[in-house]
Amino acid sequence: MKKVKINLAFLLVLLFLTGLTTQAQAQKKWSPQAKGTVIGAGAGALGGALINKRNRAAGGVVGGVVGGAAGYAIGKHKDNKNKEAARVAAANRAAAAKQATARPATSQAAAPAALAYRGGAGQQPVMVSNSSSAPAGAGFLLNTTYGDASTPYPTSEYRRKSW
Amino acid sequence: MKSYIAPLLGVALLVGACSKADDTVNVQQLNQQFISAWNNQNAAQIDSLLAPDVQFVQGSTHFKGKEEVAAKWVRETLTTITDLKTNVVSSETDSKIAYEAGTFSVDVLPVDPAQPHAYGEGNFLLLWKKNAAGSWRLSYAQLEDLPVQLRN
Repeated sequence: MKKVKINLAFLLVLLFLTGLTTQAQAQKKWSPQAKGTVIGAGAGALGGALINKRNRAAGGVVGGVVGGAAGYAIGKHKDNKNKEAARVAAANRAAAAKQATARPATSQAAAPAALAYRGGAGQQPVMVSNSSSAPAGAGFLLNTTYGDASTPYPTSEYRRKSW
Repeated sequence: MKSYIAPLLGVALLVGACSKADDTVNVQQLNQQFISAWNNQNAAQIDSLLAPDVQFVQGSTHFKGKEEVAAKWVRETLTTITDLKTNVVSSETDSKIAYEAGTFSVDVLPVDPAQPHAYGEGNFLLLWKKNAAGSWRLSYAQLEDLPVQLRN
């Protein structure tokens, strides 16, 4: 009879976990922390109940708490990794968009009508969009050796080397 | 006695003036010669004006020695520019050293015909030193270029 009870409890927990996983997959709104906590708590409760043969209830509660905490920690770690990956992807997208704007097919960039740049340390001419309002001929040549440390001004997006 | 003093003073003055003229150099002339060589794309003449230990500084590059400067600055740049002009802001000479500093402007030639013409501006310093043989050679050149602008 006792064995049947244990098996029944095991089955119920298993069903509960399966249900949770299915629900989580279907909704996809659960945060990784919540998912980790629930799965950890369920697995911990089951493990605790199975291990503590003298008092299944206490074992289940203790196992559930410990499992839940561990599950939360794992979920939090996963969430942090996801957020970092998203941040890197967003930064890459922004850089690609900036590059596409700065290097159009004509290899010219629009620049302010007035000469904004007059040799200030680390200053760069302000770039404006390639709209028709940009004055003709007020642009700067782009630096084709940008990033090449062997060239004079590798950090300047505009070509500075003349003489 | 008095009749000897006046000629002696005159001779002394002349000697002093001549020796002073020999010691200093006309740095404007030196730079004009140098700039003309650039505008005539005369690499050999530019080379002849460089000191063996010449140094060239531009942005993050620093070339040392006549060979490196001639190869990496002069040869690399000579065919890409034309109509180099300088505007001197500061200048000084003494018996061993002379310099001119100011701003420059230059036409930047397109790499291929499809590209637009452009022009560059910047600041320069050319420092000349007299060598043991008494000839003046370019010892140090520093350029600070502004972004190259498209021609109208």
